[in-house]
Amino acid sequence: MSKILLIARREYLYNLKRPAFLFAAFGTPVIILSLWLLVFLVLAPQDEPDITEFGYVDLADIISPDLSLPQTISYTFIPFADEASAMRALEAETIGAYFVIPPGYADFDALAAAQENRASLDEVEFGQVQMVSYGDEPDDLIRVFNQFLVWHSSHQFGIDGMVGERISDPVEMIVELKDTGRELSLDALPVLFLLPMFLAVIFWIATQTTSGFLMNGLVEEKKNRIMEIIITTITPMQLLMGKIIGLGLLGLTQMAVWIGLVFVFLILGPQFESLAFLESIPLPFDVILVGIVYFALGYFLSGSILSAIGVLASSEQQSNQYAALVNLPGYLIPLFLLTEFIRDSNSTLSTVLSLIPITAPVSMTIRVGLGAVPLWQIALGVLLLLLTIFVATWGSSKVFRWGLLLYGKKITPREIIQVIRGRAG
Amino acid sequence: MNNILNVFIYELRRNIIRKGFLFTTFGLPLIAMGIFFLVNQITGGTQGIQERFTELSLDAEGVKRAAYIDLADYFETPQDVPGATAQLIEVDDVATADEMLQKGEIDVYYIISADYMETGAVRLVAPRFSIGSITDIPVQQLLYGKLLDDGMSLDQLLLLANPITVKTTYLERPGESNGADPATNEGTVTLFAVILTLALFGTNGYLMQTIIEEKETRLIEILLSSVRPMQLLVGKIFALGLLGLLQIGVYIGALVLLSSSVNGTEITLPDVPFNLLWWAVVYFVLGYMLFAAFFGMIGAISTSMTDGPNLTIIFVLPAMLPWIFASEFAAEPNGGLAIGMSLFPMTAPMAMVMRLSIINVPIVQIVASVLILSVTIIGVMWLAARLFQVQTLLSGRMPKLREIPKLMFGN
Repeated sequence: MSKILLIARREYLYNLKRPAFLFAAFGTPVIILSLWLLVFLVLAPQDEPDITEFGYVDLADIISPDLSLPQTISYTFIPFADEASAMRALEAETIGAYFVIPPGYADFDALAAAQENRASLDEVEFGQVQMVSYGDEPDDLIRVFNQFLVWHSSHQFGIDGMVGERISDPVEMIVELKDTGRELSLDALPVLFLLPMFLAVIFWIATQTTSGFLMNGLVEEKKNRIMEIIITTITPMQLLMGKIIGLGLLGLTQMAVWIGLVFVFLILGPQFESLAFLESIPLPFDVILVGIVYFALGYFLSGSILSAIGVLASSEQQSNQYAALVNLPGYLIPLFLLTEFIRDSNSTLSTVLSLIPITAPVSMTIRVGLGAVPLWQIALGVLLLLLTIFVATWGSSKVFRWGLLLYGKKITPREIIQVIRGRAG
Repeated sequence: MNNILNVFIYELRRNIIRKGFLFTTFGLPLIAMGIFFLVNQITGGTQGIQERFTELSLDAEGVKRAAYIDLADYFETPQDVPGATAQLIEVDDVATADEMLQKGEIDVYYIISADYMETGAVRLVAPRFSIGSITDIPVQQLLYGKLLDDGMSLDQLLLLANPITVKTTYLERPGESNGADPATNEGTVTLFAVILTLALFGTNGYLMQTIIEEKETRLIEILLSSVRPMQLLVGKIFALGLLGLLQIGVYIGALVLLSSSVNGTEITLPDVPFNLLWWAVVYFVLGYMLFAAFFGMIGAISTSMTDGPNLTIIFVLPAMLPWIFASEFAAEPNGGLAIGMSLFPMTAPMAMVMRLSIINVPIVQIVASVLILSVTIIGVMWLAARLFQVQTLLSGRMPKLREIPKLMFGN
């Protein structure tokens, strides 16, 4: 046992100090995050528009200047008699942009005629306005002007502006899902399936890095014959377990750093005004918890399979290809079938995918996000994963012991099966 | 010279049949086109003005029957609304609605809050997550039905329900703009940024990969017995540069195909001003050369495919910096940041093209930036060549940072 720990510690510390790992685990996310923060902080003050007055030329006779408007219409719109005077004000920069409401803006007869003649988009003025600016108008100007027009049109039609606003923007909806008890705003719904994918990407990167280390380490140790010295003092099984545990912890460290940084970003972000939108992103902790447990188990499964392959692979490049081959199906299959999960997260296919050990990590995380998964299924999934890990490690250890000192032999799949069944070696 | 040509042809042959290259060159555009057509099929392209002002779109998809609790006390028993598909039932309290939901009499129910008219606040209660049944269409149906019953005309309703269509005219401030449409130029810059990124990550990645591979397989020992390191490097840079251009050609071809074959969507190739296009090509070539030299250096010192690629981000990130500051550039194309970045060699390709797309950059600055960039390229190429020598290439380990100057300049 102490020898396993020794190997694990050595693998962990040795690889932790590798520049490649340090860079992947800390450098990249820190650089990306700090760049984004920098950008937001540098650009934040500019979001405040320095000009809040804009002009309009009302050729449709739809604006009633005396109408009182709500506070939410945050810009002042100034009437101009004609386009020439509006243009002069724009050139003098007393207004930031001006709109021209064409005569046919609300001309229902003209619209009917155009529809009769199947006129094209360009020939109809209905519901259209023209905007003239230097291209530096605030991003929400058109939305606010739309609101401004809605209030005035409503007044023309004899209804309250508030009603008009409801017509143009009917619902601000909160969604309550009975089975999971989640409550989300409509805009936040995609988080339910984006979060599992985000976790999957992080885990994919971490798994690729560490399984690369695992296999390359084995190939290297075989190549320079250190392996022969190592196994004079410890058993192959101890070496295998030590490596998997050490590098597994390394992978977890990398994921912890990334997830931690994202949390810091989400928590600190709203402190700055320009990042306030981050506050509305919900973090379903059950998804994160299930995700971490499942992905960690998934790592150990692929780790035990890969170490057997690593010991048989003849070059580092070859071993990297195998690593991708072993890890890919578990990610690709659930992502290809994402629509199935969204359609019904408790369908037979979704349930089966979340129980099969290879596809379980991604599938189960997606399912937990989208709907209520019976507790027994989550437990069964973990159990199946553990069982598979056990079997895989048992099989791998046999191959591992057999292949440890094997050089230059071309190995067939049949031989591997024979080794696992104990009939060769 | 002959050796450079040999290396060039060898690299060209070897890399053009590489699976990774074939996939990114032909596979990716095919997949992208497939996705585009699929999305286009599903969304049905853009909606014309004819349909927009003819009927309300009130197809509630997954919701066939829904209940609502009207706390605002505003709605009445819903009447027939043109185009509506859902059947709505008013209930008095949550308990009744929950019971109906359990029995499967309704798909979802809505609680319309007391301040609905002011805020639009509505709570949708659904038994489980399902894309089709999470919709606010039934509430729209209630609202529009009520208003039509109150005597509002459909035309008025449609005018208010649809956001205005805005035709924009951008003016030029005297002596500042280069006269092109900002939207078009934004497209050009995005395209340029994507292409530059692909070239940096992709083609230069191959360059580094082939070097590392040759080191790993010890092929380099044989190569170096007949070719000088510098010849090897130059041959590789040209061969992979050509492949990179081929890749970009395929991408642009796919884009042209896409824009000509899809009707009703708004993809049109940007009408790029000749001036901008010309400088974009110049900066692209210079940028490629600079980063090829950097990647060659990394390839020369890395010993494995796990270490090398991680280091490239040091060079790739700065190259992308101007794009991150895009809004800053748009606001102040002649500000200190913009000018600084367009002169600094690593950020110059992207930064200068971005500036050129917004304003007429003084020719002095362009010439200065091209000069600085060219001098840097020569410098980095020379350094790369110093690193790209037998001693480094045949060493089995990665040199430490402080050993690198020694390797470059000797003792």
